[in-house]
Amino acid sequence: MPEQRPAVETRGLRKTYFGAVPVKVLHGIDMLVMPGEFVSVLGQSGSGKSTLLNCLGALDRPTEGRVVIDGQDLADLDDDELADFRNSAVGFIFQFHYLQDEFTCLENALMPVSIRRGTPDDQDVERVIDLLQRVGLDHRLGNLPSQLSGGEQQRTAIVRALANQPRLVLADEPTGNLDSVSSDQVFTLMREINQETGVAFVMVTHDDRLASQGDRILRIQDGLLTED
Amino acid sequence: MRFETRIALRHLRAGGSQTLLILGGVAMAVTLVIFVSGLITGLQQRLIDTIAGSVSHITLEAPERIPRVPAELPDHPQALVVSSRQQRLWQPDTIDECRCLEAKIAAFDHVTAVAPAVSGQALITRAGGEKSVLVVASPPLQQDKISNLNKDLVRGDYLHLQPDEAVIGYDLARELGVTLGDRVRLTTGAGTTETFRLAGIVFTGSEGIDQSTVFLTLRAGQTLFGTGTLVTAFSVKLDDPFRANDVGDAMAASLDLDVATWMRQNPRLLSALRAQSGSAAMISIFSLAASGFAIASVLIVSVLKRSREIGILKAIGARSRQILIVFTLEGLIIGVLGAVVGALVGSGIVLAVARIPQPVRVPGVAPDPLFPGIVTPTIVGGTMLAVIIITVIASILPARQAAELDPVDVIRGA
Repeated sequence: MPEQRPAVETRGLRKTYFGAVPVKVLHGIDMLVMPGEFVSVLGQSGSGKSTLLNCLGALDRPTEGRVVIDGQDLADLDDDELADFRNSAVGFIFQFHYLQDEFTCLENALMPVSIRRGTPDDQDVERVIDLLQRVGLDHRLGNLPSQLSGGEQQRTAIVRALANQPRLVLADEPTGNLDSVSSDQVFTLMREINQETGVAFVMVTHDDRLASQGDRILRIQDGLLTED
Repeated sequence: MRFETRIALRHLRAGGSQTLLILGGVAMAVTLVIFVSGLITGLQQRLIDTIAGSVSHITLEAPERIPRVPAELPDHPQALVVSSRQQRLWQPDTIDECRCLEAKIAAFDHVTAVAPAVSGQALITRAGGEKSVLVVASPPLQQDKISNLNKDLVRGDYLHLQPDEAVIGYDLARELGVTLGDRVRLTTGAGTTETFRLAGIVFTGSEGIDQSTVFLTLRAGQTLFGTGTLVTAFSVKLDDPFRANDVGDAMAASLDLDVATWMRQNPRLLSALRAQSGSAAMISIFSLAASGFAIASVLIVSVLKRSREIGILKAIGARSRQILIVFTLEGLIIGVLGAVVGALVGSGIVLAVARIPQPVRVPGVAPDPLFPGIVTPTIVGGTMLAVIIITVIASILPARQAAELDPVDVIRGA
């Protein structure tokens, strides 16, 4: 069996915030996520799990160590290249949906395509509509975010994360802001999409129950990672 | 459509009443600037037309005879140096080689018309009334290009003036109690007297002409003042009256003639015009700057309000430059729309106000507008361009604020 390129690989990842007092958040993290894996990162608030995710998603640069995503070492990229990387190589799902208020459900889901190409072509639109159908939003395409429920907004955000067909989706407490019914629905969708498409997922959460439904659980505590 | 354009338009549309208010503010500033500039330019142009339009911009006269020193008069060793005034050899001074000179003068840059003239003081008399007047005798077709007399005629005709006919100012005609067809008598200082039939009455708005000027044909003037076939002066019209000093100096340098310009004869008028233009410019600059500040503050608030959305756009791959373009575009769109609306309203007001007539002064003549505002492409285009540039500059600060937002701060801060 040929060796597969990891979706995520970090070596000695450290992150220190230099404020009035330097705060060390990550203390040397080595992690490996293979394509198609669904990895949960479990940790209390303040444990550094969001910082880890931001470093994986090229939102934040590590102080030390390497981050290689799908073969691309992020240290080699300048700011614009990092933006392009965030646009096409990874998808983000945040605790809050952060949809653009003035754009419809479909337009929001297509936003990463618009950022890259200006106007999405028919193929993009078709693909994204299929995804919206997949998450049960085909009747909501023309609605503004304010007209959607919390669960619907988060499902729109999931489709947005997948719009440019990334190899990796990073989810930061994706159900943190939802009631338990919507929460289960959103998580199940993510897991199904992971299994159907083979996109790797790294989900940060403090919810043991959700975390246990992934392929693997990584625990993060005081900036260090341990595997169950 | 580009991503940036779409976001900018959507932001502005979502801004609703706020967008309309700021648009109104910009339009109002443009309206004000066009109104003030249009009015002041119009008033100044009327003033300049009245004063510079009906006089010659440059007047060239024969130089005063320079007194000669005794050494140059070997035949008269006892001669004394005397003043040029007493030294004058004949009255009035004449310019030789009239036609050749006329062609030379016409060849200068900016010269649009040249008229040879014989002019001098005379006494006009009519049935006991008498008044000292300036006589300007020159070919009507040429003189009309200098003084626009035909346009200012209240009655009669100037262009076909005959040697035995005269045109006088409206106030002078009233003072003497004469009307078309009446006869007036002109007497020069040398004692020559001629009688002329009144062929036209002009109202120029310039007191010097309306109250005490008589226009004759060149031939009549030459006869009246006894200059033979010679003339005493050339009147020159320029395409731009404010070049009179420059062109006049150039003429003085190469022609052996005395040069007088309307600008040097009206120094107070010019400083008044300059002060007026200066205050109009100040009003314009401050109102345009005010609209710039208004746009900047509205956009800064909008950036703050949208920091979440901006952060997420950057998180999902929008480059800083794209965000910069979004907000600069918002300023540009407000600027362009405000400029167009303001230009329409401003021009409309200027044109409407320009239709209000002045109280009638001369019966039978359509009165000038009370506010002779004008709308020129320079005023409208210049104001629009200025406001657009200012709005774009004003939007750069908020746009940079937006572009420099760190998505991590936004996500963490929520």
